[in-house]
Amino acid sequence: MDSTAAASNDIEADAFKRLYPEQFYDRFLAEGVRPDGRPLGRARAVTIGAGAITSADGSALVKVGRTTVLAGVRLEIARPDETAPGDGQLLINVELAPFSSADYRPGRQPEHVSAIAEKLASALLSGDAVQLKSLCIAEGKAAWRATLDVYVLDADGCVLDAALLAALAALRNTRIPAVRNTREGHYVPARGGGGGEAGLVPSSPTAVDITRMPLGLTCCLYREHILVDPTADEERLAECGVSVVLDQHGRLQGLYKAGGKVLADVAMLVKCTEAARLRHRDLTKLLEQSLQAGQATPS
Amino acid sequence: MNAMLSVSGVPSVCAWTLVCERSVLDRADGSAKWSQEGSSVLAAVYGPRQAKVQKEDAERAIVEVVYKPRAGLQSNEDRSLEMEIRGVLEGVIPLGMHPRTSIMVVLQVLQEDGSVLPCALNAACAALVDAGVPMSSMYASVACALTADERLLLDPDAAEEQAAKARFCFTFPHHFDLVKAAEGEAVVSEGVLGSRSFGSFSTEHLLEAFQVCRLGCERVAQFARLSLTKSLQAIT
Repeated sequence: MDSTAAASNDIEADAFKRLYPEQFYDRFLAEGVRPDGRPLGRARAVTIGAGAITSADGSALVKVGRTTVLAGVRLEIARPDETAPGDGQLLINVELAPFSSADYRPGRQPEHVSAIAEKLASALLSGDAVQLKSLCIAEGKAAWRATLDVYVLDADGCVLDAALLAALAALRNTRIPAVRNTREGHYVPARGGGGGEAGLVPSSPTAVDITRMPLGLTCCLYREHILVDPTADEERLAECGVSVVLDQHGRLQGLYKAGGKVLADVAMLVKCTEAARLRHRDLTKLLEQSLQAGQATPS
Repeated sequence: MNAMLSVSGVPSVCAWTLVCERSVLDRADGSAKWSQEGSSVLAAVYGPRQAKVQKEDAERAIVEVVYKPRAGLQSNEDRSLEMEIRGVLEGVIPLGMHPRTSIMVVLQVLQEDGSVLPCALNAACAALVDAGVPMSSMYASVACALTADERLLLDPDAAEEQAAKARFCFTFPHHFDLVKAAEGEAVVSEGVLGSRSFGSFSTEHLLEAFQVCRLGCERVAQFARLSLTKSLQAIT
């Protein structure tokens, strides 16, 4: 008897949420909590699994709440671009898995995926966060071309933040193999040892040099509330998000607000950047722990 | 010539050419061509009209934005701009007024010399006004760039954008205060509708750019109001 009553209550709550999402959220927000039990200012728990894919040169699986993003780095040797003979290359590719969200439609990738790819590229490449010079093997002859693939497995809000964290963790996790110069003058990766020390290029890079660590935090503006690190439901309800990307020194790398119903004044923007600053500190700590754990257990 | 700005954010030189032509296309419900300095964007608005079954929303209108670059195919950046523009339009159009319909805004870049996003946003606003789509307020958009020696340049051209450490674009809604309307003043809101700022900058730079762009938006808003009243006078 009790269990059926509880079940019908659950159904009623679920129906209420679907039919009157605003009223549903207002009741929670009036109490200063969110449906998942978090206060408005608290971000979700994060787990970082560095080196999740053994066959990739670098990888990471990141979970922010239920949002799951997998990033992998594949390395190959290529001739550098003639306009930048001393630089390697970093190609960024973001894909949304069909099962990741209910809004997914087959065909062309939705535009918010393009937006995430563009923001990732802006954070990692334009602000010289990733030193492309560190990927050079022999100037004008050979350099590493790194392909960073980001797969969004579960899109439950704040996909940009999770994607940026996964991309950074995967790049930090990347171990660049030694390079051998063959008799014909080709540069080939010396994977799996063998052949001894003969022909190894002495000064080839071993890790991707990252001078700035861009990480992001998204906040939703809903009426007068600021919801930090919203879920997909909250994002849909508020329709107004502010994403802040900043580096370890607290210097901003990006501040994006794509319209929406709420206007953000100076105080709100400052609150969002402060929240992002605190979040960056926590994420950096977790990232370092995870990278050390990944090194300790040789794959 | 760009308006150079000192740290206090007061424009010292203001020779800013803005041109707005309305109803330039016959077939569209509303259209406008907006030029500012070297950049120019043509905007066309279709709708509110029947939405595609897949996309229609029973409770509100949907906004579709198509952003065509000056040449070539759409890049990731262009699609990201589409999303940004759509967000801004959804913020000012009362969507609940036209359920099950679609409002389509097509933006074609004609000339590209920096500050294209604000140009496109301003063109879209003028075209929506021309089409008579209800809006809760008009808006104005302005870009600025942080130079290597940490000065702010309002409305940068392509070369200045390339050399900039950081780039900002802010969009503010504005309305006409009846008390101040006699002097042709537009009241720009304190809160920002859209922001697209990236590069490397401190919070101080951000706040400074915010104020500078707000001042810039005041001028754009004045211009938009002036051009609108002039064209209405011409009709009557």
